[in-house]
Amino acid sequence: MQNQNQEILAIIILGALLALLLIGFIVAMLFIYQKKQHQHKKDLVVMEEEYDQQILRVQFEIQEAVLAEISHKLHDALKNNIISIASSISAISMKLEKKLISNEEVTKKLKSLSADLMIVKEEIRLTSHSLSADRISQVGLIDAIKFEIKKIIKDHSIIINSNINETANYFFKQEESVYLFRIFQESIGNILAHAHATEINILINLENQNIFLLKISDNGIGFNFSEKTKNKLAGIGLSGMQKRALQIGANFKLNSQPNIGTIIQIELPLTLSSKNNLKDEHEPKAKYSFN
Amino acid sequence: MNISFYKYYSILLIVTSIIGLFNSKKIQINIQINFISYFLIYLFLIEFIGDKLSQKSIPNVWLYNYSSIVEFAFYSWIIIRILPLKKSKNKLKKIVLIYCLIALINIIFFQGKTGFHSITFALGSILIITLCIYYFYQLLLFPNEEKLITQPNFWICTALLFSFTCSFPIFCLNNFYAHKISQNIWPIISSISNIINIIFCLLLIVAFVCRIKIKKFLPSLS
Repeated sequence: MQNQNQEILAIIILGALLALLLIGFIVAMLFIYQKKQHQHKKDLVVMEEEYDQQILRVQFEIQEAVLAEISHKLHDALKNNIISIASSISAISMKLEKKLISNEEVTKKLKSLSADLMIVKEEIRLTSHSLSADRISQVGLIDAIKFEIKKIIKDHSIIINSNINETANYFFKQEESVYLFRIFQESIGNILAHAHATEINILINLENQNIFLLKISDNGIGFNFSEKTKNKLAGIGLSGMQKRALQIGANFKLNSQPNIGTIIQIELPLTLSSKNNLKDEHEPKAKYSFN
Repeated sequence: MNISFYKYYSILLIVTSIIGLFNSKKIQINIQINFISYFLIYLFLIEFIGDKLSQKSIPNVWLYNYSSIVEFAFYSWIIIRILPLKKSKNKLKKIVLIYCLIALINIIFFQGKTGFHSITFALGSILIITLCIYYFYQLLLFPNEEKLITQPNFWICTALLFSFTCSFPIFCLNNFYAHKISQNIWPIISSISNIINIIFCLLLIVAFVCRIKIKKFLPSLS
């Protein structure tokens, strides 16, 4: 009888010890986990704030870059043309005052000035189009890029080989197409300004029917990526492109080798909504179908 | 007096399994709860067959030897499945596979010929304990928004960690110091082992019901 009582007592004691051990473990885990959760939340808030600040900084940098571009275009192209037109008008008026010019010659000169003014107007239109986000979403990404390519060929002595899959035009939301276009502009701008390249290759394609691929490569002087990212000022354009890609969920790849050239590749997985966009908005135009 | 915790454990296995199956259909929770529920039925069947063999004085060690390998493989697989990070999952799966092979070799060619595979059983317990600790480590490293007490995975791992941590010394005692222990102690050890199994089932029940939201029915004011 005493043995049995001892057995029961031993079981109760050991059982209680096990239960205490278990409860202690669970309580400790709950406590530590809650502490970690609070810490994690704080970290997330800090990260979000840092991210917002970065976005603001990038937006500011982009704004500055756009203003610089406008200023550059106004100065280089428009100002010179307008000065030339103004001086021509003043020369014509002087000649008219002194009656050194015939009516026929005046008509001829005015026609030439009118043509010059048309060039200025066209320049303003092109600049306006390339800067307007609405325009990009109106015409579509591919057409905007094609337009930009034409403009570059016209303005710069550089060979551009483009291989563009037209069907990729219909898959994007406004934000996506604007951001992709800005990345394209930024990379082309970098090539023209720094790469000393003679040839640019542009590839736009749909990979596996669900990844939009934009690949821009050049045969320029290239650069050392790690050195470029160390230099914060020099890396602003690159980080801007990276962040824009990140914001739309695209994969940004950059491969640059000194004296060989640079390859920039953006891969954007097409979401279900993008596919729905195709069905809803562009069904009649679509040349592309999903199975 | 011989307290029959074993009977309660067997009943609890079936009850836990039913609760698991019922709740996995009622509310959308992790798929592993379904697997565990079916596995508990398997455990019940093993216990039932083992008991019947024992009653007929037929050796049942071989049954427990092989079923314990399945048990270790299943629990390891469940823990690997619920690990928050995908990193190192494949390596862990390979380690579990290697363990299963070693345990099988031990059962077929060495210890299993004469009795219980105590060495590979101890190794298996250590494997499960390590995996559970690794799960808790990852959980603390990357906490999510959800409360811990409403996470079935936490309770499943707690159940496994508790069960294998507590039963590990008992099995060591059973297999390595059996000859030194007085015969009076064996019923206590057996009862403790069954208590651990009962607590294991209770923790699994908590895992199955922790996501259920209790609706408060308030009288309409209109």
